[in-house]
Order: sequence, then structure tokens, then C-alpha cells
Amino acid sequence: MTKLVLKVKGMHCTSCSTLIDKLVGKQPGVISIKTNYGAEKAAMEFDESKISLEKIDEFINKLGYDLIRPDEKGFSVEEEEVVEAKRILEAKRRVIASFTLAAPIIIYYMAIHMFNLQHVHSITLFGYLIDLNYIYWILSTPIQFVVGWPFYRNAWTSIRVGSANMDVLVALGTSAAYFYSAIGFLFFNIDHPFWESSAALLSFIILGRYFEAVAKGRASAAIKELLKLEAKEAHVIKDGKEVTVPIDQIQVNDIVVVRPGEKIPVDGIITEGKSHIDEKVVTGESFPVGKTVGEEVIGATVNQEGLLKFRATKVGKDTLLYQIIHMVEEAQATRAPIQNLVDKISEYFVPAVIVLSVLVFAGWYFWAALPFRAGLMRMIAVLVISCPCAMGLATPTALIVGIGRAAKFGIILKGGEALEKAYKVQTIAFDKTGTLTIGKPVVTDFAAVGDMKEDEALQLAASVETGSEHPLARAVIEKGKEKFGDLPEVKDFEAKAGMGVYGKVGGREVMIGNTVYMDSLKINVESQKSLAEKLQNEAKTVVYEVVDKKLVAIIAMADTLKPYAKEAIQELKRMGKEIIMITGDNPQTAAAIGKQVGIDRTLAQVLPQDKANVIKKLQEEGKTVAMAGDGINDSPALAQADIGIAVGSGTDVAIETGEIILVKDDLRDVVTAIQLSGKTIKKVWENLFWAFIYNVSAIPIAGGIHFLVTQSSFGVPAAWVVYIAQNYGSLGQIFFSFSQATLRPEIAGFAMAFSSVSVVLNSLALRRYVPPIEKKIARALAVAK
Amino acid sequence: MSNKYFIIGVVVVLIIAGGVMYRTFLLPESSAPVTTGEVKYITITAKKNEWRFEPETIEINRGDKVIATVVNEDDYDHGFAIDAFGVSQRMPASSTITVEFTATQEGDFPFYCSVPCGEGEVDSVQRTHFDMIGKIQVKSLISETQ
Repeated sequence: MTKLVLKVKGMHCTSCSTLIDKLVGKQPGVISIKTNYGAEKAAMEFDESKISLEKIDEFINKLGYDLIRPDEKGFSVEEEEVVEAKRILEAKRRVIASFTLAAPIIIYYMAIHMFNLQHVHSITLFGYLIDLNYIYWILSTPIQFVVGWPFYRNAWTSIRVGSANMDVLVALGTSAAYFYSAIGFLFFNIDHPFWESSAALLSFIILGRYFEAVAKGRASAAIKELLKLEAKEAHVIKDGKEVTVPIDQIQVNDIVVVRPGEKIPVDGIITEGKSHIDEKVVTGESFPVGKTVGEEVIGATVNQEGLLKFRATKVGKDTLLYQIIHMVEEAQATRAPIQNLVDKISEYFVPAVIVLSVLVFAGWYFWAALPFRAGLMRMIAVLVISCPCAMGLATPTALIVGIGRAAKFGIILKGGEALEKAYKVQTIAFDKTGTLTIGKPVVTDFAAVGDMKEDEALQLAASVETGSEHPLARAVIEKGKEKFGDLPEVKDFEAKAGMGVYGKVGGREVMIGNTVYMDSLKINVESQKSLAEKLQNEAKTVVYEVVDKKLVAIIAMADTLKPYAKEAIQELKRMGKEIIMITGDNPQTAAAIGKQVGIDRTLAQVLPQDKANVIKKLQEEGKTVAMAGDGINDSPALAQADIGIAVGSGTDVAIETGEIILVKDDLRDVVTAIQLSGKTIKKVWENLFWAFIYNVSAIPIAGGIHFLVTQSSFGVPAAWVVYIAQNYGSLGQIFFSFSQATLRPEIAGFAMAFSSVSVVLNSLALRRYVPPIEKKIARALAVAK
Repeated sequence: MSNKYFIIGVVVVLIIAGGVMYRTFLLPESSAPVTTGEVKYITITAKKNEWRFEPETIEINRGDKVIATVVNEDDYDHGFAIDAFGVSQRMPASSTITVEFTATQEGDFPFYCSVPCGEGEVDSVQRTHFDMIGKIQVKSLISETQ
């Protein structure tokens, strides 16, 4: 059994991935294959004894795509970036070309139809009378076939997989309009070609597709960021000499030297030296971890102080960093693609329109026994009017406004996918360190326990700690600086490794440290045991301060909750979301933080590699899961989740992997993002309603179906129509005129103009959206004033 | 090819087959298209700046082949359409076109201007593009002879 995630090139629409899955999945020996159009990846599982990878590759090639096998040289990140940039530029050119060509047509027809203008369909150029239709024909042909080519290609792929998505609808509708216009104008002197229908429709849709392409370009950015983390070179001891080699030349069992401040190149076990290592990038642990001989080090983490020598145990693709990269890739490739709402509608709309158009033809030609031409024209009219011009605008305009609005509140949404999925989220998993909490310790309690005043004790403590670089020391310094500004100088500073610090401030001996240090100083801390225990139960780190051999204070430090974390969680709970906390920390700390913030379900001691699995399990329970995190260790989980929310203070990788980024680092924005997503999607549906309603109501008129109501027998106006015509003046006459004719070109023009305007206005209304939380704050401020 | 398109195909074939059956065997005698071979020449004029066809009512016999000369007196565009007979032609400014169709069915069929052409006042009455509508009355030969 072989499991692989490979790159697939050449896919041009979501149907392509369906096509691959469907046809390759049928091959004997292929157990499963899941192709993702957005990530350009296929995750497959197959039995090598029954089918070889070469065979699968061959098969995929036959379908017109290219599978990059592991033995083939894939494109480098840079090359892919170039290709991607080129693709976006090409999309942009298409949009510009299309609008340049379509503008004269759209403006001309809109003006005439909206304002019922007297017009002449020809101009005199250089003494020749030129029929404008020739110009429109020349303008719309490249739109239909060059700009519109991807729609034909995608439609064909869709038809092959049996789907009738938006591409099929577009290809059908615009082809009907174009061919009717071109053939009708050139050979039959028809009164009204529908040039504007195909030109405007294709232009609007490719504009929407362009926005999509821009959003999609970021799919591989996360991996790029991860690769950047890797050290480029390493110092390896060879034949007793230290040589610098590129990282890919390190072999297992090589002895590697890492100086302070350098990145550890690969995974290994320390053979010499000790140091604090900042593993935040990989494990998410907020404090540097002290490590010594025999302990493991992880590639891409940073050696902070001592010189280390270690034996490489895992190199190349086996390192933890590469495993994380692999997991991100896999998670992105297997995530279910979202389906465009228009695609969903099209699946039913297209068959309905085809059948209806044939029924209309049958009604006119067979049933009413009218000439063939009458039936054919009504049939084409149905196809032409059925494809709503504003359809291509419905989703992009709402998404653009929604994304813009979100940005106002400091929420970056990558593409429409985030908006389309966020409101569906049922479960939200939060990473603890750096997401719910600040990610570094602060002094939470400072209790004077001796005769000394609290202020004095704090000032002395803070002064002594200025000698240290330890994160816990920084917490005390910060607290002191906050209160006193400048701190007195410390003399004779000494760091007692693993125990605490010693120093002299203004002639007084100050010692700060843990119980081990206290024991070594023979200071009895038993009297404060109950307080210390209470603090420790709250998952706080407790140290003692001794001045001139007397215990003066107990200092407790902990990583604390971010401001508003609690309010955000409460609001999410009120919205009925299930909240889970995932952390690599110990259960005690996890429970303490969970209790503070109000999360009931906490999963502690989850290894970085397992975070994605936790999400997967939740998804297998049938839930739509969002993951909020900030670290590299969170990135596989962010990729696996239906929605990855990267918290602003986080690492670049998390930011690239996440679909939603909270710039302000304020967790209440999670609430806003979800609410805004729901609002935007509602807008999209409304837009689709407005886009379709004019055209859908025009379909019966195009087909002449309305005659069943407006005419009592064929050709004879019904009594009620005559009544309206006689009693409502000019409006009555207009109604009469429309009711007795089939698709008048004014109707097509009206449908186009009104649906576009309705859609755009409806989307713009979203700009007035203010999240309820912001409203609440505004109200509170008003009351305070 | 998949189910969806297969089903569409089957439905379309069924509709067409049903239609052919109906038109061949079930269509009432009175509804069957009639052609007599008679040719009738008529002239219809879009009156200058009146937003009106002249004449507004045209009588012809069922089965007549109609050759209509349609004159556009205006210096802007009009159109000429009869849905029932699949006629939809444009009339460029100040031009004359010829339209041919066979009136195979009995009844009143509207003909109208199918190109937006503005509006104006004619003898202090507001007239518009939407007033350019008339009807073709196709009379049954049978009722006449009876």
C-alpha cells in the first residue's frame, strides 16, 4: 500500500480535479485519490502490486494533466512563483482586453434600452456608411472565443464529469447569444442582435475570476515560509576539524556544532554543552527550554546562549520541520474544495433551461403548428435570456465588500473561501500559548511576606533581575519599570543556573530563586507553603525573594490571558459554537487557563505533530472546525481545519497557512469574522436572487409562455389585458405591447442593466455593517462620557 | 457521459418524439398548417415621426404567402416583428425591406416595432415606441366558402 501526495499541473477548474478523482479512482489498484484544484495536489493511496505510479501518471497525462512524480524534478518554489505571477498577469490582461472591447457595446445597448432612444445603427466613416453591427461583431468575436475560451474548455471538462456548473451555463448562454447575433445579422437581417449579452456577461465573469486568481496565488506561500526557517549551512566536525557545509550534506551521526544565536540545522541529540533553546517556532512553547547532554534538539529552533555539539539523528526529509511541511501539504491537498454557489444553482438551472427551451420549441412548432423558424427563434431566445449577466458579479462584489469591511476591523480574509466557510463553523479549537494567552510570563502576584514594604521589595527584585536574560526575569523587570521607571544599578550580579540570581543593590544582598536555591541558602520557606501551593495550583511559577538573608516576598509569574479573550469565548459560546483548547502544555496549566477563560474542553500535552490529527478527528465527527493558532506547530492544524485563523502576533507560517488573520491580536475579531462571514454569504445569496430573478422572469416571455395568460386564444388579447391597456394610459399601452409580444430586446437590456445595478447596490449596502461587539463598545463609551 | 446529460438527452428526445407524434397524428384538422400557394402583396409603412404603422390592421387569407414591403420613413432605426411566423427584421433609417412569410394559421397576430425608437408628440398626443403595434388578421378560407 503506497500513500503519496503529489503535485498535479495543468488543472484549470474544479471539475478537472473531479475528473481525475473519478477516472483514476476507477483504476484497479487505486484505493483512493483526492485531488485539490486550489492546492494543485493529489493525495492518493494505491496498491503498488496492482498498479504502478508510472501507470497512474500515464493515465493522468492522457486526461491532459501532468502528475509530478517524486523521481521527476518538480518546479522549484521560485519557478512556481514566476508561473503563478504570470498567470495572474495574464488574467489581468484578459480583464482589461475584455472590458476595452465590451465597453462600447455595453454602453450603446444600455443607453438605447434603458432610455428608449431613437438611434441609427450605422455611422459614416470616411464617406462610407458603416453598419455598427460589423463593429460589434468584430469586437465581440475575440471576447467570445479568446477571452471566453477558458469557459468552453472548463465546460467541456464539466460535461465529461457529468456536472452542469457555471461554466456550462456561461458557455451555453453566451454561445446562444453570439451565434444568434452573428448568423442572424450576417444572413437574416435580424432586428436585434444580442451582442451585449455575451460581451457583458463574459467581461463581468472574468473580472470575478481574476479576483479569485489573485486570492489563489497564496496557496503555496505557507510552504515557502516554512522552507525559509531552515538553516542554510551547518558546522560539522569532520576528521577532527570544523567545516561549514550546506545543510543538505549533513549525514546521520555527524557531529554538528551550533554557536549561540545560530539555528540548529537538523534534529539530533546533544553530546556536549548546555544551553537554552528557543523552540517556539516548532513546539509553540513560550519559554526557552534548558537542554543538556543526552537531550534532543530540533532543527530550525534557535540556540540562545551556550555552545552546543550534537549528533545528527534525522536529516533531510526526516526532520520534524519537514514532517510539518509534509503535513501542511497533505492537509491542504485533502481539504474538501468549496463549491461556488453559482455552480450549485447551475447544476439544476442548466438542465431546466435546456429542457424548457426544447419544450418551447415543441410548443410553437408541434403543438401550435407554427413555422419552424418561429419555434427556433423562441428556443434561442430562451437560451439567450437564461444566462444572467450579473451572475458573475454576484459573488465577487459581495466578497470584495465583505473582505474590505473585514479589513477595516483588522481582519484579513484570504480570498472568498474563508468568508464562504467561516459562518458554518461549529467547533473552534484554540491553541493556548500565544493565542489565548500573551505567550510570555508576567508577574501576576507579588506578595510581601516579611517586614519589608512591597514597593521596596519589588524595586530591589527588579533591579537584580536586570542582570539576567531569562524570560521570567524580564517579567519582573517589566513590572518594576512600570512602577518606578528607572531602576537602581545592580553590582556583583551572578546567575545561578537552574536556581536563580544573586546581586547587590545599594549595598544590600538580593537573591531571587526557586525552592532549590532557597534550600541551598538554607532559607526556610515552609511558613509560606500554603500561599505558594495555592499559586502553583493556578499554574503559576513561584520564586522567592530574599534580602539580606531574610525572605521578603513571593513572586508568582504566569502566562496570562490576552485582553478580551474571555469576552470573545463567551460570545462564541453564546453563538452556540463548541470551544476546545489544544495545548502542548501540561494538564494543570491547561486546566487553569481553561478555567480562567471559560473553556470546558481542554486537550493538554498534544504533540505538535498531533494537533492536525485532533482537528481531523473532530472533522470525522462531522463537524466544521476552525482552528485558531499562531505557531509553526499550529500550521498543520490550521491547514487541516476548515478555517485556519492565524492570530496576528504569530509566525509568518501560521499567517500564510491561515485563511483568516487577526491583525489586532484581539480574539473578539474571531466573533466579528464569523458574523461578517454569515452576513456576506447572505448578501451573496441575495445578489444571486437579484441576478437571476429578472432573467428567470423573462424566460417565459422569451418563450412566449406568457401568451397562455395574456391571450384568450392565439393572437387575441385576453380581456384583462385589453382592460389594462384602455384604462392605464401610456403605461397600459406599454404593458399591452409587451404582453402581446415575446422577448422584446428591451427586456433583455432591462434585465441586464437592472440585475447588475441591483447586485452592485445590494453589495455596497454591506459597507454599513458594524459588528455587534463594536456597537456594544461604542455604546459603553457613550455611556461613560 | 454521465447520468445528468443522459437524462437531459432522454427528456429532449421524448419531447421531440412526442411532438412529432402529435403533429403527425393528433393535430386537429383545423390546426394543421395550410398553404394555398396564393401570393399576397402588402405594404406597411412606419409613418415619419408618428410611431405608428400604417395600416395597423391587415387582413389576409389563411394559406396566403405574404410578401410585405415595409417602409421606414424615419431617419432612425425601426424593426418589424411577427412572433407567430418567426419574422424579426430590422429596418435601418429611411429604408425599405421585404419580408416573406406564409400565414399557415388562423387568428390575430400582432406585429410590432422591435427596436427601441424613442417617443414624441403627435398632434399633441404622446406617442412612443410601444404604440407601434398592429395586427394581422388571418381569415379562414373554409369559413368564407361556407
